[in-house]
Amino acid sequence: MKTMKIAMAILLVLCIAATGVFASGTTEEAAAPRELTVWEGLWFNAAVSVGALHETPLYQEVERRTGIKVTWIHPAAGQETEAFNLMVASHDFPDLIYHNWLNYPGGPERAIGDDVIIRLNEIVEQHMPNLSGHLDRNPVWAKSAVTDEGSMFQIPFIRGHEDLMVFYGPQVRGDWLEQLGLDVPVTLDDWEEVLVAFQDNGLSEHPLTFTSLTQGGRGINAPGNAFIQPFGTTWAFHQEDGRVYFGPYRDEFRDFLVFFKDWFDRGLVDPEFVSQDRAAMDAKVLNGVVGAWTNYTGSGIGAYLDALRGRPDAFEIAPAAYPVLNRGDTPFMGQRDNPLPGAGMAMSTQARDPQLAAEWADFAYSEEGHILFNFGIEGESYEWTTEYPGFEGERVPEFTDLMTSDPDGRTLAQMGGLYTRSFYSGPIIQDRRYIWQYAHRPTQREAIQIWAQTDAAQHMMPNVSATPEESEELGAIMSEINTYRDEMVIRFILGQEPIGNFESFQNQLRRMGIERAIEIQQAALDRFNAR
Amino acid sequence: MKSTSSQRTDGVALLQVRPRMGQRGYGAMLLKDLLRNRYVYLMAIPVIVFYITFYYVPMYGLVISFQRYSPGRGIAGSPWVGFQYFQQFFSSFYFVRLIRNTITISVLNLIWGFPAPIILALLLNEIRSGAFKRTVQSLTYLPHFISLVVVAGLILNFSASRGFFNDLIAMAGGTRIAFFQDPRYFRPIYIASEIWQQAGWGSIIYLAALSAIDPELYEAATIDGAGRFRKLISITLPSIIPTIVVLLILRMGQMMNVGFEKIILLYNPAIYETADVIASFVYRKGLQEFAWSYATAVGLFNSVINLMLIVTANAISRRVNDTSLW
Amino acid sequence: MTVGKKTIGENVFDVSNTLFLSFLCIIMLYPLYYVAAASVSDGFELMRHTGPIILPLGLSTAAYRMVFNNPMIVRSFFNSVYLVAVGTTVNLIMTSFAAYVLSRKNLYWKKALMIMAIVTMLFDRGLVPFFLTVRAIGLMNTYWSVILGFAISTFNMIIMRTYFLTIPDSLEESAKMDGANDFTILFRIILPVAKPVVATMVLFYGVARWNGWFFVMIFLRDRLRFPMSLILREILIGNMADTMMGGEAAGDIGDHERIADTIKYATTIVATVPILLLYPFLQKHFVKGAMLGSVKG
Repeated sequence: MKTMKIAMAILLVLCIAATGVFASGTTEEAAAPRELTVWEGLWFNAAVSVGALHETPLYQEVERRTGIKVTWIHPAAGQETEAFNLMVASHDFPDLIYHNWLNYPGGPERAIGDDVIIRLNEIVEQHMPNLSGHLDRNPVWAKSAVTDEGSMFQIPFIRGHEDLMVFYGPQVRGDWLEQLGLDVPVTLDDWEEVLVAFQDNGLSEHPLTFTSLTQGGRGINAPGNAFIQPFGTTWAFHQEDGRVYFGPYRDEFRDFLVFFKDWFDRGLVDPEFVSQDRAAMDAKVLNGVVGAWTNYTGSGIGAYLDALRGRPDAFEIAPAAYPVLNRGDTPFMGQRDNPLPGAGMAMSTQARDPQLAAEWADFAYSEEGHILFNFGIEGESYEWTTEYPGFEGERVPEFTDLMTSDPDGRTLAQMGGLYTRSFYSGPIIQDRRYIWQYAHRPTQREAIQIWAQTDAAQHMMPNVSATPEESEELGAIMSEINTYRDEMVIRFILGQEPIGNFESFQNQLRRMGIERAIEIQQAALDRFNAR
Repeated sequence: MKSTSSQRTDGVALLQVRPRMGQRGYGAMLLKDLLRNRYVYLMAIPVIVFYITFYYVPMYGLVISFQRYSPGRGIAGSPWVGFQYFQQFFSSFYFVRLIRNTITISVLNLIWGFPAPIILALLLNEIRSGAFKRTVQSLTYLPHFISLVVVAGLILNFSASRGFFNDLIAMAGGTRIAFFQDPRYFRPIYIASEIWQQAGWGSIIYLAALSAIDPELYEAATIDGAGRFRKLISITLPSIIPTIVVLLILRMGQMMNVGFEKIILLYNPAIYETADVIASFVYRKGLQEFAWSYATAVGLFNSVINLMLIVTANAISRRVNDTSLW
Repeated sequence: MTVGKKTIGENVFDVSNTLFLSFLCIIMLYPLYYVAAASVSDGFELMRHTGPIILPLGLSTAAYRMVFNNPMIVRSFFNSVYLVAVGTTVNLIMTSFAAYVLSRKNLYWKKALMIMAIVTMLFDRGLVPFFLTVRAIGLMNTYWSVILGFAISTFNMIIMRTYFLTIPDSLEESAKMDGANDFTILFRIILPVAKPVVATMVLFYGVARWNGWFFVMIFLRDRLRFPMSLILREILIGNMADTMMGGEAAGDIGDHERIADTIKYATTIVATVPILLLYPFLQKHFVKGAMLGSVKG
């Protein structure tokens, strides 16, 4: 034992000595004129062709036009969260950081309080005339660009038009509808008729499918999410007349469960919706095993139509509206992104020249910068036209063959990653003429129009932020509640739990603190509305 | 290097009598030891420096399990909360289930997964054709190299209702099984895929140990008329027992650790009942709230359990067959 | 091994053993075969395919052309080679030092040192403090951060030590009599005798270095220095970016075009095959009795 003690004592001494050695500071980089550094996760579709954003033709052009040299620091794609947290922990920042600052633990105001980033109100006002002009003209944007306390915390990514906010919804086999003489379903009754017809005519054993909760994201494509909202409730938090609700906690949710379980029991719903990933669902759709599903405009409809092109078994996809109970109703909810989804470029407390950074960032919001960031370089990645199919008469920067048919086989999105930021996100205003071309097929355009016809804007939660203290409490409550909800909803549908137990499900949610969570969200919403 | 043979013989002499404290001053003994083993200690210096610098210094980070840690404020600036996160974990709605699932998967993996590489190594050892043996060796460790992301995709694909396994079942006249919607099937699938992925790789250690056996032992046994099974039992197995025991003890120190990545790539809410383990739970929590302190508290809890298990296993092993880690 | 007369039972055993192991080979080979076949398949055919792949679905080298057009692939290959070569060398030296020290029989602090090592296997070093330590020493954005930070795997060290303990004392005692110091004994006597375990260590460390991605990502800020493992992971995880792997936490929900699966598989092949070639070179050291030969010679 004595040996141990002495060993420990020596260990301790060495530890202290070692800590002393490490106390020396890091090397300071010499401030260089007109140079900036930016931290940002590299979009995976850009990562397949470049090592860093400053290698893209887009940013080389930006450098030429602004005379400001920018160097990117990229964490590995898919691991941005860890890398971001470590950067914050080390308190060693580049000039600018592109991140979803709403997700900073405790919210953006806490990020300012932690001396990570600075308030941009004065800088934007004085040195970013283009951006502040846009915010002055768009009160909705201005409201989302600040915290409850009125601090502007980032140079935001803005979806410049409604068309850009809607990209997910129900899809049906159009050719089967035609074959059976059916219309695209509108009400839940229509849906049932269509699904039963698919089944009865031997077209599909289990016609309706989704991806699994754990494989396809928890939010917008939760199983049957599109089929929950006709009952006037949702999968998660939503608002109605300024009041916050947690969807599964409402009595209306029981109606959904009864209804959906009935479909499930009759085999209208594919039992594998519980476990399948995107690839498995794609294979089912393309092999004609299923007749209806929910998916994206681009990576769903677009990818399917590409895969089917020129094949003997090619089929039509009909986008269907979010279902309603009665004909003439407007859907209670549908997928809709916020105009300011939350990501943005913040300026760190260690920014060497905030004015220079502001000048560089503001370029993207100018007329010239807007086109450059959305469409790339004229003559190289786009040409102006007034005859773009479907939008004749409008001035459209049309992507060139370089973009649409790359000799190396890169896809339009991958080329978009080289020449633009409109294909993903960035400190820009996204232009809707980009989506006209990315989602250029008539089916895709139709889908966006149809899926946009909902009351989602009134019922979805805006990007509210809880106070730093409350946000931790909210997180602790919701992580357990979400697990519980995911599991119980599936159990109800599969029949492992009788629907008669719905009340005890609600009671359990209450014991887990759902009332408190709603209260926190309500306060946050009230503060948001008061901005 | 110049040698000092007088001290060396002195050292060898000392070996016979194990130095006891109190007989002579501790300091004197220590000095003697330091002198005698000075080159050994010279070798130990970089090792000790490594462990202290890269493990013991960063280990103070464990204190954040008693803090409401925020990355922005650092350890120095974060407020202390005592055992709040431990209490939160123990009082979690899922605590019992998480512990149960973690331990069940660990124990099953130990029972089925631990012997697999040993058996594989022994079977390989019985192969006489060198070329065949080498081929089998090189092929069995392949699954270890394929990323979990790809492996999980394959497992899901093969277990789907129209997947390979169900095709086999249907061919044999059975009814198709919804493997990933029924909590009963998760553990067998998980364990089987673990074995498939790790048995070949794990057998390398045993193959290395087997190669240390003196061929003369086998020759002598053959002359004595021992059959192959006899040789396996009385020569081969005993000579790899130390390796087996050491690996088993180390394994006991990992009982509470079931990696989250494979689990979250495979599971879904319908099978949380058997598939949700501590690590995947903490992972989900982290997504929700960047729960640094909570995750560290749970990790510390796991470490303490692991520590108890490894100490117990080591003590038993020392008593039973005189093999000990320390 | 001496050739004796085989009994019927032994014959039956040999045949069934061979059959069993052959069957095992097929199962073990299959995932790599699947990946290889998928990587040369036609992308759209692969997308609609379910179940096992027996033969490539169509034949296309498009995915490989894409992969080799990615400038990061070639760069990261050389980064990986450097990381493995230097990293494994450091691993071997440090690990054999530690294993040698802990396999001495007459060392005062042996137990304390052993416990010091084992504790590190049980208690996690905090990620943030580890990061801060590496930064404070000035190793950020260098390969030395991971090379030194992972100089010893305690698990591997214990394996090596266990092997060292089986080496007969007589071997080194004679050397000691001749006045050799411990460095000479380790490098001239112990390591040559312990070739099988050295080969195992080269394999374990080499493969871990090649496949390791998490800490490289943490310590390297310069993307151009990323090893292949990280580039591969980006491509594998990319399709899940908006769902499970933390992308949602970063607020990145949107309609992102997915990377074709053929590219995923082609990258897997390109990033995996080089390290697979390591094994055949090491295999000859796993020959039975390698150690004893040296004792006599």
